[in-house]
Amino acid sequence: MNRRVAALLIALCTAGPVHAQPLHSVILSVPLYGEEALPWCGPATAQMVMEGYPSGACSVLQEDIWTAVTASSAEAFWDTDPAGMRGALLSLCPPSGTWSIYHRTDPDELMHRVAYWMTRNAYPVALLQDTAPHNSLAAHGEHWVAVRGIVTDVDPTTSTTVTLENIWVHDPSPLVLGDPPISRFISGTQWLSELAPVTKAGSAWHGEYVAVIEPPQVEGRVVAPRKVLVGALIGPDEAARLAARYIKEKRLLELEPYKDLAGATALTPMVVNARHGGYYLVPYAVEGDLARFAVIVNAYDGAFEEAGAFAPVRYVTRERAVALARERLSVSSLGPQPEPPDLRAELFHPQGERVASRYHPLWRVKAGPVAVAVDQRGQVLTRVPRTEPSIPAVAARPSALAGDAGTLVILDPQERTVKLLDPASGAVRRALPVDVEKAEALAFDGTSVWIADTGRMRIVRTSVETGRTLSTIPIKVPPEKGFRALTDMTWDGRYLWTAISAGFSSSLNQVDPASGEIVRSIFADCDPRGIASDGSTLWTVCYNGPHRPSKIDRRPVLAQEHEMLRQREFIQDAALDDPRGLVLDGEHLRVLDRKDKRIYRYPANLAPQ
Amino acid sequence: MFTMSSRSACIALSMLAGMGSLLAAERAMAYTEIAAGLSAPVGLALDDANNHLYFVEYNSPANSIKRIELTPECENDPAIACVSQSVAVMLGHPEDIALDLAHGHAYVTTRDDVGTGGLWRVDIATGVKQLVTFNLGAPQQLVLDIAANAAWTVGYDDGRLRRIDLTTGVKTPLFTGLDHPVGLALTSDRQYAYVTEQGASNRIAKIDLALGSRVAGEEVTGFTAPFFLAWADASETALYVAERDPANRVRRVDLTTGDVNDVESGLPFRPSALSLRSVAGPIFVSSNTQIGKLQLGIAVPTEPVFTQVGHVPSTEIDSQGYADTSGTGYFYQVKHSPFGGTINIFGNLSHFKTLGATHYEVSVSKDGGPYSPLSLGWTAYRWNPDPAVAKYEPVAVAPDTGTTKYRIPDEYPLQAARWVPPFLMMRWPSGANGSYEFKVDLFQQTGATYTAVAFPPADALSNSLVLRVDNTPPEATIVRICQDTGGPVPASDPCWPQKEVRACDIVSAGANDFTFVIRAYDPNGHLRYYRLRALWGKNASADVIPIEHYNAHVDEEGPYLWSGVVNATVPAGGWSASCNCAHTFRLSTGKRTINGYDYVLWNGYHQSVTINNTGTTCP
Repeated sequence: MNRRVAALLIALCTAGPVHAQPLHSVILSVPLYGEEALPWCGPATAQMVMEGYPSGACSVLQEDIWTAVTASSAEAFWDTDPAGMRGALLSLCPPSGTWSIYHRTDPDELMHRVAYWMTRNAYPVALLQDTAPHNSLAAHGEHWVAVRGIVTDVDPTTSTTVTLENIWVHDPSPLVLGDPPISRFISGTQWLSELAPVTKAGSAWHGEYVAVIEPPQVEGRVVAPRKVLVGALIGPDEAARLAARYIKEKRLLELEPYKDLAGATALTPMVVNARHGGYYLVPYAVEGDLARFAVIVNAYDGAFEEAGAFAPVRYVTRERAVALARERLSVSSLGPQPEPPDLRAELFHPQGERVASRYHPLWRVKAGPVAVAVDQRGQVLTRVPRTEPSIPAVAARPSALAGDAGTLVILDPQERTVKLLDPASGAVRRALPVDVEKAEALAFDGTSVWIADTGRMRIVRTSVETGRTLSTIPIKVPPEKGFRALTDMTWDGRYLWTAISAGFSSSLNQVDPASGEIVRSIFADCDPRGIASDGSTLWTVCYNGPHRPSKIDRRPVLAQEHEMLRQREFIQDAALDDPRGLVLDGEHLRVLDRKDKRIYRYPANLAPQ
Repeated sequence: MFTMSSRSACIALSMLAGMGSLLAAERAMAYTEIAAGLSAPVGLALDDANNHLYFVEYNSPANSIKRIELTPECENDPAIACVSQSVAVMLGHPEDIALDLAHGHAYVTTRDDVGTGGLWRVDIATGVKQLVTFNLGAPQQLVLDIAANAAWTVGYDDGRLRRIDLTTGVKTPLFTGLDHPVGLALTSDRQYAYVTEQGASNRIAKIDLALGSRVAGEEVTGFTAPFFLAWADASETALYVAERDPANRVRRVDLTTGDVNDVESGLPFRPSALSLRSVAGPIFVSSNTQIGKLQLGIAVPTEPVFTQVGHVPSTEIDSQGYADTSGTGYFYQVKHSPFGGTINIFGNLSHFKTLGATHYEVSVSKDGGPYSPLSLGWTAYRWNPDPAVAKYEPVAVAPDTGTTKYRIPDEYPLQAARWVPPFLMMRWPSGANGSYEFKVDLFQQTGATYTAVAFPPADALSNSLVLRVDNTPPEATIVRICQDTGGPVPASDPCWPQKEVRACDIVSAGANDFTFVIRAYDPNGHLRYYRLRALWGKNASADVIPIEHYNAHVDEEGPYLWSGVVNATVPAGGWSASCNCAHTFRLSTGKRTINGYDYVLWNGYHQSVTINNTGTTCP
């Protein structure tokens, strides 16, 4: 088949139990190019897309694409914004139709457009994976990839709801500039767990998922099973067995980048992010211990997540990582230091700062309270990249946080507003003016916002729908426990809870929402900066000063206060400068850091530390 | 062709003088091999502060960065080898290197690693490499500007000139369509790039970086496989270019005139890159298997500091301060002339500019005393190029306010003709007699700060001008006129045994035979001439004594000295009038003192008498 007419519509039949039905796939002939400059994932993606046209393909240098991108750009705070991407594709290599920016707040809808138009027109798609930094250039906050293949359960042009089985992307941003870019064959579940909306405050696309497609017109959506994020780990042997099976099931050996897998040997599987979002990285080497491929399987249920081809890498072993960390920790400007005790190492893939690909996880090596990271080049990073993802809290002075799974609410006392945010991106959906004297804390019950006004010592309940005040109750202080500040509130479905900071007598208080009376009060045993509850469990954020991480703890809501205290368990260290407000959004907890104006996300259901 | 067979060759090479326009001083060259047995060294970069010469080796298995520890001994003594050490390895065909010593980095272009060639940042201390960008189309010479956080290079294969952001790696094509470009030099204002093109054109192109176009009419052609470039001077008026085989030479391209001159030929096979230690300092040259040093201290044209005083070339004024242009055929001839009056001192303002100076200061020392800077003003003419004016207009020249530093006008070096007189550096009213030594100091002004600019060693030798000043006029006196009366004369007569003829006397008797007692004298010994003439009747005149000139008395009383006569009786055989008439006898004296254009000191004396005893009536 002419490589320019490279839309392969093939029906794949899989024998395994996972895929018992015929699949529909589009596999296009798209070259694999790496970005030639740190902010050029956009031009590199455009370069691949233009060479992947079914006809009339173009070979254009990235620097010329960059010139075209900047000429068409609509927003200055991007390197390649969607308008720049579209403009470059249109001007440098006009397609038979046109290029359009498709942007949706629902990633499922977006991916359906991708599947639909790749099937119809056989053009690759430029897809914005996320807007987090992904390399050493911190100012570069976007990540474009070229979609060259997509596998669904049924033909997306004939069905408005399809299951996204797999997606094949060319990621132009390898771990090291100049290394071969990564070809990723990814499960729909994994892909949808990675795909993130634009989080650029002020952008017209803020809060939206974006792709540049030739051309979008129809409605529809894709679905994919939810990714399992926690659980008991499967064993490494099981991971290796599953990886081998997926190579066959996904017919990877028929895909150009993976053909050499046929003669490759599986290396020892490595578990990454074991406590949450874990996966097994099963490397494959064609020669010796230099891995050129890897299959990633879910660490808890063994589901296929993706397969990748990349530059040969000799993975750093645990022992090597520990040795490198020990060497670094033994040296300081003061001269030789005592031998670091009890070094513990674990592999992790940072979600907050995507400075490494999933195929190149970092080692986190801890020596007591000190931790360093070791990358797969053997470089020791004295600042461990943030693991937890975050979104911006778009406000002049965000000071409180509330919300649920669908909405986050922040308080901006400077603007005297509460803002309702998209929890995926931080995009502001609505802003409500509030009449308060000194607002300190928020709670959200799904329809109204509870605002603690310590200037007037009252809690005002305001309708999100109308902005009108629904009720007002007094702020009560538990007897003999004192009061310095009301740092947070939460709605557990029946009661309000207040976190009151008062030194050693700081308290967590269950409040009658009708009267404001304290139903019960327990000691916080810390300086509480956030509180969240689903009615049966209580989470709090304990602030430990600027030099130690805050702690997120968890305890069941029990009738007896001392039983609650006894069953308190710490689940997460949180490196936050000024935490304020805690929200449970289902599987995750959200914490506002007032200092850097970001809302961080932590797993809520972790095992105790 | 010159070939270097061993390191022992430290050979003074005679330059291929085919171009014919170089000064004699440029032709004495010395090439010293300082490193041999190398694997195609190409790019060079000099760390002058630490005496390190970095270079890259293009060929495998080297593919490396190394540096040579330069010492005076190994640079100049063929018996002592310079030591080199490895800095980094495993670079795929490195082409050029540039240094960012402030951050401990070297930047290297590699021809085919990664993709079609990369730009790498290398930690000099560890050798760790970091790719800045790649797919540069076989990048060649590299220009680095750390302050601008940018690098520039040209792609041999794709004919592109690019600017590269050193942080992001973003490449910006500034010009396309070059004919296999190799060498690159940028003007410091980043307005223009000069590029050697090795395709069929074999030329140096000038690219306007703002317009992204070639500058028509300013390309220089006729090269043989031109390779890397290097600026020849701080003012960027000339380039050195390495030419590979079969030429194997280094040439100097004057960008103001387009003149191309051989600096050195017969170099070891395939010279590639050039690195200058300083203006007029040595050029380090990489060749196919070695690196050598071209000693330019005796090869680069030296330039005068003082050009002339008036019409007198500065080098025709000797160390004692006397001018001597005699016997040269020059239109203005003087011999052993001191100076006096107001003197125009001319300086090489164009050269000062090329050294990076914006200002100059002229200081003077009298009789070996301390130097004092001059602060004088004068008026010159400057051309007003406005088509509506198009004439020279008077311009006041003075030092910067509150300083003794004179700004070098913008017209230098390229439009000196817009000044009348051009190159006038100081107009100095000489004063008391003595020996005056002048010197020039150069400065570069940045804001309110003047930073000294040093003359190259060769030029520094000419940074001295001594002027012998003598402003004392010569003496001229007719002491008395005497007549041989043929009769008795009282012994009290000043002319006894002759008779004195006083002024306004009428001589009616006695012999027509007169003598004159004169004083034609310069106490400083700088007399140029004296002469005594008789004037009478209707424009009649005759020498009593013909002109007596220094040319007949050179060094008569010591070097440069002739003071004339005191109370001399002339002429030896007496003098007779030719007819009866009133006569005026005029004694003239002149000194050799000049202001550069004219003799400025003279004197005269006359005495009139009537002579009526000749027996002949004047016509």
